[in-house]
Amino acid sequence: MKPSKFTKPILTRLLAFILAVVIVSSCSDDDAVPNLGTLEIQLQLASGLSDIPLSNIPVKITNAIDNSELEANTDASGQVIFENIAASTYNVIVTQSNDDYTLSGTANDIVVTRQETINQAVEINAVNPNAGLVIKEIYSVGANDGFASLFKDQFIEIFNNSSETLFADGLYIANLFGETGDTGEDTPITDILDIDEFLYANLIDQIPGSGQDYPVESGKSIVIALNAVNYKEGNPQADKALDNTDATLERYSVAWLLDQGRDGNNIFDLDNPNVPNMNNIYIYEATNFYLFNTYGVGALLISKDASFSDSDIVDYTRPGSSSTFKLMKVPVDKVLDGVEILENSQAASFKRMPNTIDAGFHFVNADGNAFYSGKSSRRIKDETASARFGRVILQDTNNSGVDFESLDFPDKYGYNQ
Amino acid sequence: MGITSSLYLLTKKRTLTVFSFLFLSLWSNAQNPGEFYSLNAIERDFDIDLFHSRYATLPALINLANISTFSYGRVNYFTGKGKFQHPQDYKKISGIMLSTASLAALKETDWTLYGALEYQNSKKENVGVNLSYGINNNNSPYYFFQKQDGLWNHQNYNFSVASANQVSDKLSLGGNLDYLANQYYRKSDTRNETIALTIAGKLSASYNLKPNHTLSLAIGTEHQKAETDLYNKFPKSGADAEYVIYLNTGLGSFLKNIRQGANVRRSIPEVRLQWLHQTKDGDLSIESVTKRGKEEWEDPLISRVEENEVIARFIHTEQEINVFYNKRYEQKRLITSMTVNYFSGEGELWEATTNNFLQNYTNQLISINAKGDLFYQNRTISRIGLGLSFINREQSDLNYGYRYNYTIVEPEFRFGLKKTINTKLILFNELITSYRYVADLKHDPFAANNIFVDWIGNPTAEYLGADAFTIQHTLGLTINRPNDNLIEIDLSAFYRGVASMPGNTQETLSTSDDYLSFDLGLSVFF
Repeated sequence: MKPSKFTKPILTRLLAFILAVVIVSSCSDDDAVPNLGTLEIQLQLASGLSDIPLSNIPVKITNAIDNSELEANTDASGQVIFENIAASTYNVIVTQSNDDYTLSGTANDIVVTRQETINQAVEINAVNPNAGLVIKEIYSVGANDGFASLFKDQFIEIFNNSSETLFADGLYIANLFGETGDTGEDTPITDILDIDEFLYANLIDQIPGSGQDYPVESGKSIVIALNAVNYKEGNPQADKALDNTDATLERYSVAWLLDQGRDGNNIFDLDNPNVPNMNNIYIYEATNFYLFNTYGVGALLISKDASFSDSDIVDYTRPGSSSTFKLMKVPVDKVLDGVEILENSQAASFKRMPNTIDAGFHFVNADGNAFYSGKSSRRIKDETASARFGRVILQDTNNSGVDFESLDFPDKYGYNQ
Repeated sequence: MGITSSLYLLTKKRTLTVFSFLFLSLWSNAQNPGEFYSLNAIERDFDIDLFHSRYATLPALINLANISTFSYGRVNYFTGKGKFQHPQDYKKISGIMLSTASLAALKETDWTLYGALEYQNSKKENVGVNLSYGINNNNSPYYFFQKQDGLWNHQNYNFSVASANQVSDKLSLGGNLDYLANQYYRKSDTRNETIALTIAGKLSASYNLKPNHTLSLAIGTEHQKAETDLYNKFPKSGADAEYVIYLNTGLGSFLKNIRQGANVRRSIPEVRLQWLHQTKDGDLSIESVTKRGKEEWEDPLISRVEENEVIARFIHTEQEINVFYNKRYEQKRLITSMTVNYFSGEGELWEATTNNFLQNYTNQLISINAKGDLFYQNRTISRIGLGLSFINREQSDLNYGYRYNYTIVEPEFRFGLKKTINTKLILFNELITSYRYVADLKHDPFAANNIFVDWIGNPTAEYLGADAFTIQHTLGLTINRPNDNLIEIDLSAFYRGVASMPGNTQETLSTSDDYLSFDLGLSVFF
């Protein structure tokens, strides 16, 4: 090959071309605006309340996408400003207790948009903590014992928050129908049905008794189990299983269903003859083998004054679906207590009960997926009120987002003194 | 049969077909050893690498390559262990790799053919916070993650074929096709099975503008399709937060409530332009490579009209300049090169409320790599080389104002020895050391206060912020066989240690952490 010197014009042109390509390709959108915004929260007393200062009250916001939390106290005017936060959907929780009352407020699904300031008013209620019977614990997700118990060990616990013995006879327990924000779910029940006056249950049981058969002493509780069975027996992971033979009552529906010419489920719905059974009031077909939905619970404690008949049954059909569900209407004004547990922190739009019953919502795992985790949702203790009155008083601000916590293992009768 | 299974079987069939083709068409034409076979082992390996990086990327040039003909088969067993790895990479590995390649000019024709086949099977343990291991490349921010460590099995089949035809005295045309079938199996819960198929092809032309001046152009594209299948064989759903699945979309940005995998499609067109000047005793080339790629993540579960099939996309541009200079002296050879690379990418997420993509991530990378090597033909010292790398990367997550910038400077020194024992046996010995100096690291999560910072952001900052040194030592033996066949046996040990840790560490790493690996190889050149 013949040697030669470098040819400058060719090299110069080539370098010029390459430089041009570099410059063109490096022109990017350098001035992209951060997707940050500002959330201004103004606390407002609910109508009828007065002379309650709203300064120096802790306000917690939770980013429903990544579950990160920020907390700050209000200024003298009851306002708090969160600047430069990620544009996202936020849930707001306000709570503060003193010797006389507990302040509580919530706002869900607040959308903070990029480079904008969002103003949000949060209504604050003052709640008397010395209420009557409350839902203390709901265990619904199933045991983490290697699929020995599955979800047959579900239970709900009712606690007496008052200073005197109350009787549970005739009260109803209900499980609300509706999607809970699980993956692929896209139709909150409120898209189809209004929940201002009635809620919609797929299961209602009633505590039996003639009026004084099921006393609940002050500071104590009763437990209603799906199956009053000892799941520790013969279980290689007994430490992760429950013994529900100590339940006060058991939900059993096979006989009731057979009486109506329907099929029961003898695998999931067992009968311990030593534990009294609940009275079955209403069970929709697909619900005849569990107490609660494992992906999220809408649990109600309903007054014995309520009544249910076939005329209260309504149809529910999702858009585009040919399946129709039959749901029992529950009057909102008959609900003594309600707890909304949804799939994850992002599921606020799937709430099935109004703020008057539960202003917030609880989730077992912030990112969902608590199926067979053995986790349980328990109402927290109101330390201030308990210390003041010398007995265990559970926090009841009608906001499960504040009042409930997730436990790694159920705490049945845990507060009983 | 699922799509994944079909792809797998298809891959197997193509493996056999291409494998057969390679050996039937090339091996019989690769019986004319040249200068390549008389080189010492270190220089021979260098020349093979050079062939891949400088000539095979422009297939019309393979008939002008630095090495005119070669054929080899190689088997490697490798194992490594150590904590001083990227937090999202393995901490223990073992595996085997089989590779074969051949370059030959067909007798009495103007055709030059090249073919290569690689198979790798490896087990990788303790891969942290990563459920998409193996497919998140091109600086893309998208991958599935879960806190729980994973055990992975990787099976990679890579095929390459290229041909060049000297159409006339001035014009050479060429083309190549690379087919990569990579299978990534996460063997521990949560399971993930990813089949990633990559097809890359190029057409190129080389034209002699004047004697010794060759201008080459290649136009090509790379398509990758990866289908992931996430599932729990033994559901641990919710038992621990460690098992929750997320799709990472930036720095601190992620999508949750993920139950199923995603389909990933990547397309990267490329234009490559090179000027090559050859002299009697050397050559100079300047090359420009321009790429503009798009990666899209598709949700296989679309249930609402306002949802978009593509939930995230990453658009990137890359510009690379390569300058290479090679000069031969009587008993030595000088090779210098410099590569400048600029990469810019933008991540965008589909926003259902506005029915549009919203940019949330930017990534810019500049790297400069300069090398110089002297190879001596008849001396005990067979190689002396120096290198210097500079990397500056800037990432930003617009959703949080999260910035992650670093600058790394890494000098490298290479030193090779050879000892001729007799006409049949030659010992060779190579030492390569480098020092990674972190000139700058800025890690500011700003408004981010979530799991990404704790699980990925902070540990990665500790790893990237640590000054480190590496030592690689290779000891080998070349056995000259009759008919100019060669057998090479080599054992490499690689060690990476921490020189100093950045301040404000979370103690995920310490100065006593390191990484040590071994590679035992057997090559046959024929």
